[in-house]
Amino acid sequence: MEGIVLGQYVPGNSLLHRLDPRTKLIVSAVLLWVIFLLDGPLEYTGFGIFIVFLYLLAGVTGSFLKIMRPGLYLVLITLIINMILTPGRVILDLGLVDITHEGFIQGLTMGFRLVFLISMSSLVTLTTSPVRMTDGLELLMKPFKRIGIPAGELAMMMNIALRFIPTFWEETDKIRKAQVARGADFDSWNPGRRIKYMTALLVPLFVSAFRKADELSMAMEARGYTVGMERTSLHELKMNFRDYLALTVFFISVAAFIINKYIV
Amino acid sequence: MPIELRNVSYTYSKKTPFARMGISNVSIRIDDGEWIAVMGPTGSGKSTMLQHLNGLLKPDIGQVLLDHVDIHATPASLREARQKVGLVFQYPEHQLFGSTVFEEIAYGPDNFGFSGSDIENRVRTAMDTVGLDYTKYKDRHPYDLSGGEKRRVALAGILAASPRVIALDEPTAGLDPLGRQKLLETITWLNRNEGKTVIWVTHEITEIAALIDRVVIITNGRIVLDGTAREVLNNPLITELGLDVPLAVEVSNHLKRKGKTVQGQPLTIDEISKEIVRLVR
Amino acid sequence: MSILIEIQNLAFWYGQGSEEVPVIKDLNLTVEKGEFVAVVGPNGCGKSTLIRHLNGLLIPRRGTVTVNGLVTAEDRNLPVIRRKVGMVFQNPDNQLFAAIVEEDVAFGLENLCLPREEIRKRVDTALAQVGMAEYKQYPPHRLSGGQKQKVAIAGILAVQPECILLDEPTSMLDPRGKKEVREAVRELNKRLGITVIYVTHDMNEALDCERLVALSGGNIVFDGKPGDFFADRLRLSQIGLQPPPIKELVNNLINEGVNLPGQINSTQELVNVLCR
Repeated sequence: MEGIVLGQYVPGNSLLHRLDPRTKLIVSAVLLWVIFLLDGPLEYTGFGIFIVFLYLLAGVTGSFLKIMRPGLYLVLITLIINMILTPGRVILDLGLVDITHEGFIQGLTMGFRLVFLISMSSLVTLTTSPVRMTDGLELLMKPFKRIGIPAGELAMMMNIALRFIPTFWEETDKIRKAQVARGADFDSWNPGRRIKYMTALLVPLFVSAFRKADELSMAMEARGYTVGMERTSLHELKMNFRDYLALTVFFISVAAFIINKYIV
Repeated sequence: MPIELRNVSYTYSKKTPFARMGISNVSIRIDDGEWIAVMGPTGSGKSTMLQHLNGLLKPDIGQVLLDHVDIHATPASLREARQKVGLVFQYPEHQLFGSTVFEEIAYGPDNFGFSGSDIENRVRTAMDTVGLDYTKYKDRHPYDLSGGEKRRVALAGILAASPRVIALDEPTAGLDPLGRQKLLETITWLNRNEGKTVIWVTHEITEIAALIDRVVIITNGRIVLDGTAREVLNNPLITELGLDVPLAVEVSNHLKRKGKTVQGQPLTIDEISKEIVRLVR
Repeated sequence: MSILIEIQNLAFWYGQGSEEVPVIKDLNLTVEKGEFVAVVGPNGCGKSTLIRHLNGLLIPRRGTVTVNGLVTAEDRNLPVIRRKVGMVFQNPDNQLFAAIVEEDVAFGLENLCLPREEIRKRVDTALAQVGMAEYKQYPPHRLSGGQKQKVAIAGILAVQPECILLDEPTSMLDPRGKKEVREAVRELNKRLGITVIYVTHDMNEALDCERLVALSGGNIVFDGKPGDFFADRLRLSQIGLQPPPIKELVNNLINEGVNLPGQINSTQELVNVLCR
């Protein structure tokens, strides 16, 4: 429960850090769609190289490995389930189950898609400070304000949630240890006792969350915040030349890819 | 029941880019009935050391011995260590979860497998020790109590498992003077009358300077000073590390700087008073 | 000097009817601009409740609180009052909510809808005033407790308040952090003339202020010079407080017949007198 968790920002000054969050959100949204158009080893390899290139550009490769560790289990499970459940030409007979050619390909495809999905979305959160991210989301959602979606409040809530993720990990760890010191055994096989141990972890955690929320809302109120107010922002989100350039290059490439794939 | 750390090293988030040294090659032996204070700047490894004493953390290198037995030798020895070494975390009232004070305090003894009637006795004794009236408080909701009372409930929860060693992390933080005084009285009683070993991690040494046998200073994960309160607290390194010294030490240091000869190593207000009276006369 | 805060016959209780829990009974207090006031008292004496009335986080059940002539009970006064009176809380972790220091400092200014260039300028100035300029890009969880509190103070300073309320700002810090925060607050008072109201359990900190207000059972039981407060042992023990060690030592010495002026408040002063 130490170190980086999913969705954590790593400060930096790379080109990706400096891009407007809206650019990154739009690009990643389109790329998430492109992932499902990929077909064949060549395109997958190409896309993989592209992601590695982006990570190198952002200088956050170290964090990627940490983030992908839980992701890898997911990928592995997807791979195994697909390999044994997809009917087709058997390439390996393991007695109880057979691994099929189709299943293997299917599993690989799904596995890589998952890796791409996780790494793409993580790249955005790794290079964008939560505040800028929420500012970006707020601006992108602004058109929906007219139909009653409270974009500003949603953005603020998201911002706070992101800020407190590391704090809650620490808190959980602390309370868990305190209860273990009182003889709790969270690895117990006895379901009755296990419920008891979990209660001793969850109740203090909820109480602490409410206390934090209470103090935080008081601090915000004391600093002049009221729900639904108009606010300005320290960081102006301004689409720079680099954003327009990145978006132009990006859309031309995607268009070329689509045309090449489906029309030519 | 001596407890001993032998060449213990521990690193957090091992083998990741976030690896951070906790403690490094720490050796210390604490004997029965001792009361030691552990001091050090924030992040120096005090809590890491504390969490080794009851096996919450397992040394990467080295051993933790309770009664000369490695606590990580078997699951039973680890369990024994958890019960015999009571660890009171910082702000222990934040770990309360029970719907009554009784349930809260009975949690430890129940987990350690004591029988029903025994548990009731233990809760009663523990509440008595921390100064909470059994009949008045046992059915109350822990969250309805005052801050000082909550902390006493949390302490009673540890005492109810009858540990031989009580390790406390910043036990007086956030209490008002009266709350501090009560807690100090309880711990002094446990140490003097019950012979419990007390390990007291703190930033504020003044309030316990006259009570403790020994002070250990940790910085950057290593023990740099270990000796009697008088020796250690008069060591100039303490001030260099930005740690708190008792007023008596501060005054005597100032007097020495002005060229006065201060006899002995005064630790309490009474001692420094006598010394000043001697100097003026 | 002119009056900044005026409290008249303040009473506050939680709950209703038979469930009423009185916290503050009938309290009168006036604070002038530029003062540095310590508020002390045992837990549950109403200290936090009192200072939460000063920026309208709580509204009196009876009596009035006025800040610069504005009554806190009027909703439309609150934005102005909160701009004039900032507040720093005890737990540094529960009041910083941005992922980056400078974004947190900017929060109050963003709420005022100031133009971006003005926000930028004020954030930088405020961070420099508390000596945290080089940390402006840090995430809060990488700072020490003392540094977090200084960031919280900068967030208040940026709004250019006339008064800062601090609710036990050092009680969760180590000695180094305590010292950093104490010095930062002292600077604000001295250099910028900001009124400071400082709730504390640390009697050394209280001794350091010009004026001390002691609460007990929801009433003010002392209002005056800290030195006088700590000289009265009987009253102290009635309230459940202890004098700071230095006052205890000085009292001891005087009782022993050492010729000392009673108004010694620090080790430095004591040693200087002794070595004269």
